Amino acid sequence: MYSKELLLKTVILGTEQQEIPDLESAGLLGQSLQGLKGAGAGLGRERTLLHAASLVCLAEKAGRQLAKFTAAFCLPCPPEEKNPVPQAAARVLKQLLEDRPDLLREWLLIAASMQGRVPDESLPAILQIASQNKALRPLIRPCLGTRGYWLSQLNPDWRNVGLPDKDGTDTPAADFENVFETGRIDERCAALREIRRAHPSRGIELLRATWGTERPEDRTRLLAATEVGLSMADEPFLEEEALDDRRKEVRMQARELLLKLPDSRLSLRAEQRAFQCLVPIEPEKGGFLANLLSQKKRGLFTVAPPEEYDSKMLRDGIAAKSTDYRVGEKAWWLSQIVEMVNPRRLMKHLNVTAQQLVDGINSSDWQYALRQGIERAAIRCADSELAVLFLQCKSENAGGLFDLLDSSSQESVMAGLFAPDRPVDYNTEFSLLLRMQHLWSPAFSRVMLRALRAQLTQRSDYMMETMARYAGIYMDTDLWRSVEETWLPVVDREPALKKMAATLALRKEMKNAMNVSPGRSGSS
Amino acid sequence: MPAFSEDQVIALAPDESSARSSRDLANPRKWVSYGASEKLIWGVCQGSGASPYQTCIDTGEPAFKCSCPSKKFPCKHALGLFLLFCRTQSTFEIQSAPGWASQWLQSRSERLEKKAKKKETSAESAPDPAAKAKRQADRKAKVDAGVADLSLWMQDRVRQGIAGLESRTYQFWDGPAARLVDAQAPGLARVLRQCAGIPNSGEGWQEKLLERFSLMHLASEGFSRIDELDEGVRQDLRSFIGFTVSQEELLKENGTADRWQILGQRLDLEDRLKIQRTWLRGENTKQWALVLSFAYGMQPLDVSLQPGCALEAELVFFPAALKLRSLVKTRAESALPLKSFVACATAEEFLEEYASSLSLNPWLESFPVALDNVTAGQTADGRFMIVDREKTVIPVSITDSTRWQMLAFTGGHSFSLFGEWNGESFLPLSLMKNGFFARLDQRLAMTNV
Repeated sequence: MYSKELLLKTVILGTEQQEIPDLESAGLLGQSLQGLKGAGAGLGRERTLLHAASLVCLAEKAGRQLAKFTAAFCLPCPPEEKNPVPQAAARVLKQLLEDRPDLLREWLLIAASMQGRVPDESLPAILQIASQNKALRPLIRPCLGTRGYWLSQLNPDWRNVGLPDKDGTDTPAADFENVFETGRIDERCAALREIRRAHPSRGIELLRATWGTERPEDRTRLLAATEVGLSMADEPFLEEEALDDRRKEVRMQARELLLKLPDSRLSLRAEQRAFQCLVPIEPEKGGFLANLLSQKKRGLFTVAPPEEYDSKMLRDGIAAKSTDYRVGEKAWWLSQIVEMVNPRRLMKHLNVTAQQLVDGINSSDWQYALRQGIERAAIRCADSELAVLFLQCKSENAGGLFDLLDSSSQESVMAGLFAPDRPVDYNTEFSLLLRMQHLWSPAFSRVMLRALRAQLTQRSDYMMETMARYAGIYMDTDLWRSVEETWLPVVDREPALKKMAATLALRKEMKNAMNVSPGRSGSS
Repeated sequence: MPAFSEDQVIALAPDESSARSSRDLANPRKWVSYGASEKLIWGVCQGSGASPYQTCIDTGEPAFKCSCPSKKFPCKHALGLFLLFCRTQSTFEIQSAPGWASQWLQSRSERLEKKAKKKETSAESAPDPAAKAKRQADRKAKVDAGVADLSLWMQDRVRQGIAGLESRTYQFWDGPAARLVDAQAPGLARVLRQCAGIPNSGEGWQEKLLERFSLMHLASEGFSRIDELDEGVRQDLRSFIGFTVSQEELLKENGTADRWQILGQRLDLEDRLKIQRTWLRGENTKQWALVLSFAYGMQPLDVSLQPGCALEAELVFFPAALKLRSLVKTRAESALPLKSFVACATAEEFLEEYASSLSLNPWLESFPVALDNVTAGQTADGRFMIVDREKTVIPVSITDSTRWQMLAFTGGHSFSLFGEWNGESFLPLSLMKNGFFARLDQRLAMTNV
């Protein structure tokens, strides 16, 4: 507004410095401003200015005009396919989101089993949780519904939460290539993943083309994205270019990918090296019994760690200097060599079963190095049979091994660790307990209740509180209902147990509110 | 007994931690015993002390009493008991109240009777008209002086220019504001204090500050000639400056009876004072109404008006040229849920309404707006916008959480929106889509989109 600008200028500089301008405007406002001019002398400059300001500001407020929208919105949400959960369930969810986010897992499981979706009003909170909590994401996704997925795509923080219902039919491949060329690094990685899903060879082609010009951090991430659709066709690139990269992180990433391909040159080299280190003992001449006896004396295989460190080992990612104070040089190399091989191939080479392998390692002089190597290999190759065996004798990599197991295996391992006459090693047992993310079966709940009772006599408050807290969240509520009576006197004495009982009561209320029939709703 | 919803009970909590603790306490396991009679709910809770706490609630008001040592009011035991009652009414045995509970109820009703009698006697002894007139004249003189003071202060600002004001401390604004409070013009003081934050608020602050100044200038000029003004304008000016009207007197007048739709609510915090604004609109009269309620410090707010309902009631309006602020004189006990509300079709329509309202009351600060066929969406580069059906962009004042709530509720489809317009931006308070009413959660800190 023309007169407004003049007015502002005068007010900003002050009437000492600036004369009051001639203010003009159209229509009624103009007339009023003219009227002021006449009265001006009697009022004094400041008052006249303020009068004019009042008129102009008021006119502007009343005559405000709004701009038109010329851009375009993102498409509105397509119609919903899933039904929302019943009202009671929605209320419970609101309560959980505010007070007890640790009980969300159970709500989500029940909702998914009812084929229900999260109500609209709780979607932002749920999406926020999903973006920060990786473990809950797979549980949240089925309960999002069309609206939830649509919403997640609008917020960059939430984009990694929603999965497309149909695999990328909406966005054409050309778009992904465009994003790969011009986007930010995380967008490019996502785009590369999509391209690899549809045309793996095209993906590698694109990556090779820009490989030389990428920043080292970006190289690592883009390389990780080629995990999708990994095949022997990628081997030449990985072996020849990526493995020789200047940056260590890139080399390590390439190494990880190559080890996933059992026929790659790297995997074969690793196997050769490992087979030289672990040599099966030839069965001697003589009868079956003689062999059995000699086996018992000498074990099933000999261990021959490498004498020297060469550049080939360096290239394949084996570090020369030990970072573990418990092992010497040779043992250090040995554990790294063994780590690179799939334990099953090793077992085939040595002609032993899993149990025999574990026993052999445990009775060997090189036990520590071999354990470290083979345990890590087992984690990489997701070998749950070996994991169970290793967990039964104290393992340094217990956490990683434990995560490989399914819920019932986890429960049996834990049941073994919490056996009544076995002294409990708090560090191991508790760290594993914290990793169990599923609802306990009634049998396991019983085991834990027994262990909890044992804890009461030990007077170790922290342990009991931790166990009670986890029991509250994961224990089978029907089992608790049946034993509640016997626990009453103890519960009243211990505040930690009171909290546990309150949590269990809340969970039961939740299940009732969602009309779930008694019995387990299924573990994750 | 009137039905209370869980949300209403939680709204009584003085703070977040009380709300949380009360939910924990809404568990039958925590209560040694509990029961209800016609007017009373009582319970005995085992707390951390030696003897259990006795809690009772008079559902008439509601009023609370608990023997725990907590300073908060209502305490978590009372809230927990109330919540428990609302959730599981059937488990409360109807029986005669224990001694201590009925005793409390009795002493309470005795106290209330005494109070009512006292009021009557004080009302009967009519205030001496001469004394009243003197008080009013004294006040007018004080306000006259305060207003003149303010006028001179503003003229000083304009003479020196407002250019350097970013570097001024809060005291620079608070000093004159305090003087206005002393001069019994708290409304003007509030506006002046608002100015304190403007110079450092970013680009365009000079315009904003000039707008506030012009508002105060209109008021001060107007007040110096208050007797020459029209009745309606005079009332609006007086309420803007901070003169109060006796609510007791007002309630004696005839009100407007209608089915009032409760469209939205907003909570503000000024120092330790909570101000709750509830907006209503008459279904038949189409009249807008604003009901204010206050709570100081720990006091609970009035939860009797919940947005999303329609209520048969009689409202009395404060005298004004533009009738907005009102009091509830009589009301039906329960409200029915809203299915739809009357709204403007386009932004142009509401801007017209606003302009004509402004012409009646130039000091109008928040204007209620209901709009149909609005779409909220996000552009490709992530900007959030609200447009009406003619694609006019409505500038909004919105927090992140409200923005996602709106998108979650509406999914990019059209809906009806209710909120406040302050001449510059729109504050969304509630929306309605497919017969479903949703109240938008507004936190007090605002960020402009």
